[in-house]
Amino acid sequence: MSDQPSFEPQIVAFCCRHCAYTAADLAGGLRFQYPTSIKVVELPCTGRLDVLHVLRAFEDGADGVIAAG
Amino acid sequence: MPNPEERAALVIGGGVGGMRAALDLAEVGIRVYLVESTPGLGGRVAQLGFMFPTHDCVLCRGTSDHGYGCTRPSISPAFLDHNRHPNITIFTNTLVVAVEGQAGDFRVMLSQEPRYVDPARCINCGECEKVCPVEIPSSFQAGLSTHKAIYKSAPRALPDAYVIEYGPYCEDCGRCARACPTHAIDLNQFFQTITLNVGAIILALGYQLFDAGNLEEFGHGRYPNVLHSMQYERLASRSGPTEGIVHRPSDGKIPKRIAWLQCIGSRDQENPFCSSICCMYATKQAILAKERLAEVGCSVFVMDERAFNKEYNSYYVQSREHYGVEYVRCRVSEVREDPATHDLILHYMDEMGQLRRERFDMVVLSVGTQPPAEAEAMARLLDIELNPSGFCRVDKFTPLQTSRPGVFVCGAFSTPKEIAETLIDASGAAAEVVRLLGFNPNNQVSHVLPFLDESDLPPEKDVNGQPPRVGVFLCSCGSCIGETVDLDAVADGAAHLPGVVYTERLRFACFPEGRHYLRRAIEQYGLNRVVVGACSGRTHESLFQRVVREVGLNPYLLELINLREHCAWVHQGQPELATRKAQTLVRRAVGRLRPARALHRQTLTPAAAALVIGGGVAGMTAALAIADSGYEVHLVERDDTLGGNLRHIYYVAEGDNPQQLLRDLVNRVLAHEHIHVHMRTELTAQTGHVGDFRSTLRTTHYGGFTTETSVRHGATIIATGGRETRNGYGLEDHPNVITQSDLEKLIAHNPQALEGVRSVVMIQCVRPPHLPDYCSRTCCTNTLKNAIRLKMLDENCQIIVLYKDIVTYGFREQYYTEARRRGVIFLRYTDARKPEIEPAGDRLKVRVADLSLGRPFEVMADRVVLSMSIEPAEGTARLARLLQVPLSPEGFFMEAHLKMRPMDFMQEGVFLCGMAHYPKFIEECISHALATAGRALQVLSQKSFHLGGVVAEVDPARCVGCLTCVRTCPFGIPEVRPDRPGVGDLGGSAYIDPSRCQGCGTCTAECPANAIQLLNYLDEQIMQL
Repeated sequence: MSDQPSFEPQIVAFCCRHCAYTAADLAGGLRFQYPTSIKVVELPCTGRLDVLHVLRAFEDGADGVIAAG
Repeated sequence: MPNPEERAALVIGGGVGGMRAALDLAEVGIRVYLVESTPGLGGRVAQLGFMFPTHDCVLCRGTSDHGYGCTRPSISPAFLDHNRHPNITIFTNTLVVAVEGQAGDFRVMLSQEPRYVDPARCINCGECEKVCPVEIPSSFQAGLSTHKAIYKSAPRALPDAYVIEYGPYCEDCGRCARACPTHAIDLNQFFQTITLNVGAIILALGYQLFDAGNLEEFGHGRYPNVLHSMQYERLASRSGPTEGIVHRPSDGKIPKRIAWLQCIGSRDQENPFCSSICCMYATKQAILAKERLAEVGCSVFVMDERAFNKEYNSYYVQSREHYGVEYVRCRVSEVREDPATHDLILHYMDEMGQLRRERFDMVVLSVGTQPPAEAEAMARLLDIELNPSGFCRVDKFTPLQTSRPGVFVCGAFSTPKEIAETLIDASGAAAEVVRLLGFNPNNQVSHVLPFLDESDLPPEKDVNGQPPRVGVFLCSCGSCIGETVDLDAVADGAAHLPGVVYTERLRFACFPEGRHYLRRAIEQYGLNRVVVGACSGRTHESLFQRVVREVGLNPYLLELINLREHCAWVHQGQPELATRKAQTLVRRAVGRLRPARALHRQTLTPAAAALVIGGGVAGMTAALAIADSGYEVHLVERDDTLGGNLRHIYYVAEGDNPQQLLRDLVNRVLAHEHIHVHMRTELTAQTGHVGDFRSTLRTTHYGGFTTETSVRHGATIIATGGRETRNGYGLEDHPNVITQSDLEKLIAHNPQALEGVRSVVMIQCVRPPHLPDYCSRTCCTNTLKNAIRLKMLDENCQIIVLYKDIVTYGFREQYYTEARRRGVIFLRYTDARKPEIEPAGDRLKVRVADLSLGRPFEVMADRVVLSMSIEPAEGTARLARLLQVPLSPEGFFMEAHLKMRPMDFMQEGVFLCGMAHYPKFIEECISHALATAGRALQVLSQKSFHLGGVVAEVDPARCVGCLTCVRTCPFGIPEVRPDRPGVGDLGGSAYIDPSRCQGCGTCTAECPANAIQLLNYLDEQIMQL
């Protein structure tokens, strides 16, 4: 293995306000730990997610996108 | 009668039923006191991980209104601490100790145990829990883990705060009080007595689980790997003691073989009833085990598979065929343990009569439902009657009334039942209370923000077009956020963002001091956009939206970012990275606010009338409940008689007289001053939306000519019913092959025609080829009622019932027992080998593969009686198209949600009851009808209400009318209207009715021309990444 610094992917999570976003709230309440490189974007429904939003996330440097709803 | 504005009701029990009833009453303007004996709302449902058959997280799907409210034991945002419905007062930790008076005027005394923690000051930081030295078994986790003496009753509790279980446990050491950063804990609180005056009482006591330890032969409590079903539910739940990973309690291994034993504490000598829910929840648990545990074997030991509701049968089929869950027809009588491995050994006889011995890693006992623990005490206190099994006594045709006038019941306290039926009861009980008390004529609860009364507020400032002046307020939440995130650094960063003119740090933004500071700063610095960095929008957004509105800013010019649950709490010990993330979140929020626009909702005064389609028992019951409350009802019936299927029901298993019910309903409907009956009439068109529908009714007169009438109404109730199919076995012309309803008619009107009948074969589950397979729910009980009647006419008549599963849920089980006691013979068949009928002169030869003998069995019958499927009424599909509401795979109307919204459609203002929903018994139709009446009254009773808000808007100048939105909208709302010019002024662009739009944004994402924007979720707002 190389001794490069470990790679931590930047992840944008598009979350439905009614379920996944709240699940992220619950994760906080239960103090589950996850990397700071995961950032949640609230949507009213994953139906609102446009392919343009995903492409913009990648353009802005994201390594991965989660659509959760 | 008290002043209408002071009409009040008491709801006892804060589970989903009590919450639903409280909310429905509150919405029609009745003051509600909701009393719960435990520290939090939610009841049993709060403990469930998932619901059958939808597998939604119970609480996520609990949102009844579109809006927020999820993961908490909340059926509506109206119960959230910062968004409480103004007409609801919640008393937790509280018992009812005395009730006196009568319907319309009860005096109730409550005794409230202190919480010792002030929910208004508790910020859920958990510091108290860390220092508490006492551990107590957790009842929420079914005893599988412990909690401290100061604890939260559930991960997301309502009220959202800690509580102390004082009892014999708390050592009164005071460490928690010293650790609390907000001084929310006061150990010197006392019990309080509260006296209330109410006009009516609803009992929503729920049920308790059968104590599996009572049946020693199953080893619960002795063998570590024998769990009861609620323990398994917690073990498999993501918020359970093992975060949803199922381990064997004895050694922590992942189980490879799990057995579910059904009917533990149900359908036995002591408990002669079916608990109604266990078959389905065991199937759910088995499916989820199959999904999550690699190569697990799941066996369910069951007597009858009772899948008697919409989509339940296909759930079963899926469980068996897709997931490979094995169903063994056997009631296992004991569980043994191998002491060396703690494996469990079951001895049982399989369907072929072979004795088998199998080893399992884990055994789950599907425990049944019992009357709630406080049933007897409550019955004495309220002077109401219980039935012989200890549940609340109700009569068949008044399923929501107890034996005492003014006291109503809902949910599992009257008979074992699942969530959807509990919610139906709850809304129905609320309608009964409205009927008794009358509604508040000055009801005004629907506001610009939920429950925000604008009359006391300053006018809204118009800031559109002004350059942004953004204020950023960062809450440290005591040390919850501040100890991980460097808020000074975040504030410094924010100050340099474009448009930001003010930044400030607050210790507790949500406290009165913090809110006051916010308001003052907004005014002092002339802010026109506000960012609050604090906690979850789900719990606190409405609070801060109100704060900004109080100083004249539109609520949509506020952005709340969750620095606590989404940052500080999930990145503990990483202050630098967490601070950087917080900076990103603030930058995004400021960016989101730049294009933000003020949003306003439309005001509408509803038409004070309802349209009820269908004049059967459901339609007439709904019409009467609405009309008795003082509103006009248009009751549409296409036949020339009222009554529907009830006209052909002559007796019921319970012994009540359905024809008397029919006469009573018809007389009341025809004589009612507020009910306009439209006979021989069909609905031909409906336009408009909730509060303001316009319908065209076409009446066919004698002589064949027709007339049309137009009516305006605020709500529509579908009660079009179902019908018994014919065409079973293609022998409908044979005089001695009849259906159960034919037999019922013969027994009632022409019993002499049955003289000399020595042998009758009854065949269950006969379905014409065009129908999908589902359980018609009522046929087993009807068969038993007719079989018992035949035996009463002639005890020597041989009756053989050929069945797949006997579905006599709840107290109907007693008729199955009674039929067997009278000598009715039951033989099971399977779909693979259906019974065959061969005419032999007047008689019939019936051939069936008997499973226990393993070979065909033939019998000569004088009559063959078929239990035919019940299908939706003729014209159901056409009506669904007309009203733009969906149908289920079985062809019945499809409600908004199988569990949480069983009487609503996504299309607001349209409701569903009776057999149009699914086959059901008379009492179930009545409850369902009352529930829809309650829902309709919520619409009709509003003085005015608000529509729109976060909805999709079409820019006609960009719309080419391509129909993409029309095709993709899950609710069928967009339409391309020729009168609206689109791109290039050509005719035809899309229109999305803001009063119907659900705000999901699917059309927005799909629109190829980018002509649609969802307000508050504009592309430029979402793309702030």
